Amino acid sequence: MGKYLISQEIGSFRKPKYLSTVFHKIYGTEEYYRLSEKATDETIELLSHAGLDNIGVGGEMFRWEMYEHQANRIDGIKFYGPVRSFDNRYYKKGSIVDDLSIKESFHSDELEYLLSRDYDNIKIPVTGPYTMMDWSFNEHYRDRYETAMAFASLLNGEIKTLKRLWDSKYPGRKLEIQLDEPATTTHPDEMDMVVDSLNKSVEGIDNCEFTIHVCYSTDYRLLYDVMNDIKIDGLNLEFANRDKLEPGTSDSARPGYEDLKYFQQLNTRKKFIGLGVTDVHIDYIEPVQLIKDRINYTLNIMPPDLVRVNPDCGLRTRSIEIGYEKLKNMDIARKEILKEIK
Amino acid sequence: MQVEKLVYGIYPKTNELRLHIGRWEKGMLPDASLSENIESEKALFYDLLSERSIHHTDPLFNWYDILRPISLIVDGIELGPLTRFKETNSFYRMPLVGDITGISVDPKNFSPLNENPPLPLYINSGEYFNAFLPSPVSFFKMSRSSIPYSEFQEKIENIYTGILKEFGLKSLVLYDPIPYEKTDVLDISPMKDFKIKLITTGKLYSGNVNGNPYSIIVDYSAENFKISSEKSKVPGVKLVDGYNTRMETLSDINGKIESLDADRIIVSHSEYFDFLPRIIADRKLDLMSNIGE
Repeated sequence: MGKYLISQEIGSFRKPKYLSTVFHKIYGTEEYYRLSEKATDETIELLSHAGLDNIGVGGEMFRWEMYEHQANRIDGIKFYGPVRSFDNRYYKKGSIVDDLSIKESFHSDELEYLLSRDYDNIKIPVTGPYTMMDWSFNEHYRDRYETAMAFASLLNGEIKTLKRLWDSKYPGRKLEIQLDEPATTTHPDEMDMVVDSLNKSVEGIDNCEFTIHVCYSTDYRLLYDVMNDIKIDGLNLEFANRDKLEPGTSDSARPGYEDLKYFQQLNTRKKFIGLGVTDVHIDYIEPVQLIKDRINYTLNIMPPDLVRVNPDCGLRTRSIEIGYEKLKNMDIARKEILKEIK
Repeated sequence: MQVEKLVYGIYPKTNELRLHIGRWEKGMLPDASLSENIESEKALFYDLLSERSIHHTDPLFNWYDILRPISLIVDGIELGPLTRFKETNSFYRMPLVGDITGISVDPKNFSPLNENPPLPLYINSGEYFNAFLPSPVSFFKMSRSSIPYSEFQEKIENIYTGILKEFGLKSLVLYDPIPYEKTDVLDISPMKDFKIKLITTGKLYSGNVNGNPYSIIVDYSAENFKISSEKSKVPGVKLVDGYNTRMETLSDINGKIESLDADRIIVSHSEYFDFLPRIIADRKLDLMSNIGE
């Protein structure tokens, strides 16, 4: 039963104020590490209390933003200033001005800390090569393909570094890596580039569970069409944002999840779905029944060993309290369903 | 050749204005104060343009996305889910279009809105000013609608006409960020009283536009430019990249202009500048001011 409906987070969680208010000022200092570690422990405690099987990296307390964190640690990228993402949210979008090379490991410090605390139910989010390419301005490489593959080479080295660290603590056990690729389906004619760059990123790395996280895609079918060509075990996707809030398990009640029928038709390699069951962009706490309906609708399409449950995306945009309540309801819902399955 | 330059759409905000909006979002700054901050920033932006004879729209510092304020003031349109804007890492709230009946909020004066900084929609800067509105074709494609396109177009153009009359404006930039399909038709004949500069994206087909726009500003290609020349009084072309920090050279741009067969053209940018860091947008603005000189 433990392997059914594994619950997981997707990555980020709201930082405590003592960290968020000083993050940029103290970045890289001893104080940064002290506060990031403290916040990681507190978030892991909260995620565990909410009932999550997999606690990720404790809400990405070492990172400010998924693109910026990695781009900051790469030579060849220059920052001119922030770029708006939506409303009043901004991110630092780098410009590639030279050949890319790793200046400093992206996530070793974070993983070393988690290992020092003996956490083993973790999943490390790493921003994928296609998204790194798509979210950068390119002033240097010949074209987008060459840029994506340059990022893929860097990521391959980074994942190997993480794997070595993991093996030193847990030899023989699988390391879970989530390749965050929200840009994946944004250029329908570039799906081959997505496949090639992801495969290059994981090339030659054994005994890892690789997943891909995609959110706010206008067409997941583009991804489903090529998923069997990508060397990944599962897809952690956003669905709740595109669904209704009324209860029910009919097609008309669950429009956000209907695409899964297409997924399952193509899923010859038995990849699992990390099912986004709670919307990270609204404060509304989805009731247990609604989450159960979303899961049960999915279970009518695919078997429970191929379904994991998670929020749509990282919960950093919600308050700590609301993030917790959303996860708690997710846990109650999946446990009730597990009882029913049993 | 006479070259007219046009800057349109949302322009990147200064850090200071971002901080003001952040405080407003947290309830620490009243609507009226934010409105004053935005007005001051718009005045600075207009100062930046005033000596350069660049035609422009409002910088739309108070528009969270190019559809949001329109969605919020029109009865019959609601805000839907956060949706990716084309292939970028920017998002907008998808309009949910029902039965459009009119405008419920005064667009011309200070009016607080939910989920968007307060109105007015525009602050008129004078001689070189143009209103800015999303083209009905892209508006419809970026929405979820329960009415057909023909009905949507008719009703939204009525709304647009009302807005322009309210502001007493004759010049309008209609922006189409989504490429046309061959079968798409934008009929602007009901808005014939206005001087419309239509900005299109991607390949343009000759049947895409009905009516007589003052200009159709197209992505740079011989085919597009030919249609723009045939279908509008002053052809227009996008020659400055709004998606990349790489700076164009003046000689490249002027070389492209010289290759075009026209007595008069409008030169603009490929996407509104909000996709660039402010410092780069300012540099591109500088560059634009020297085009054709």
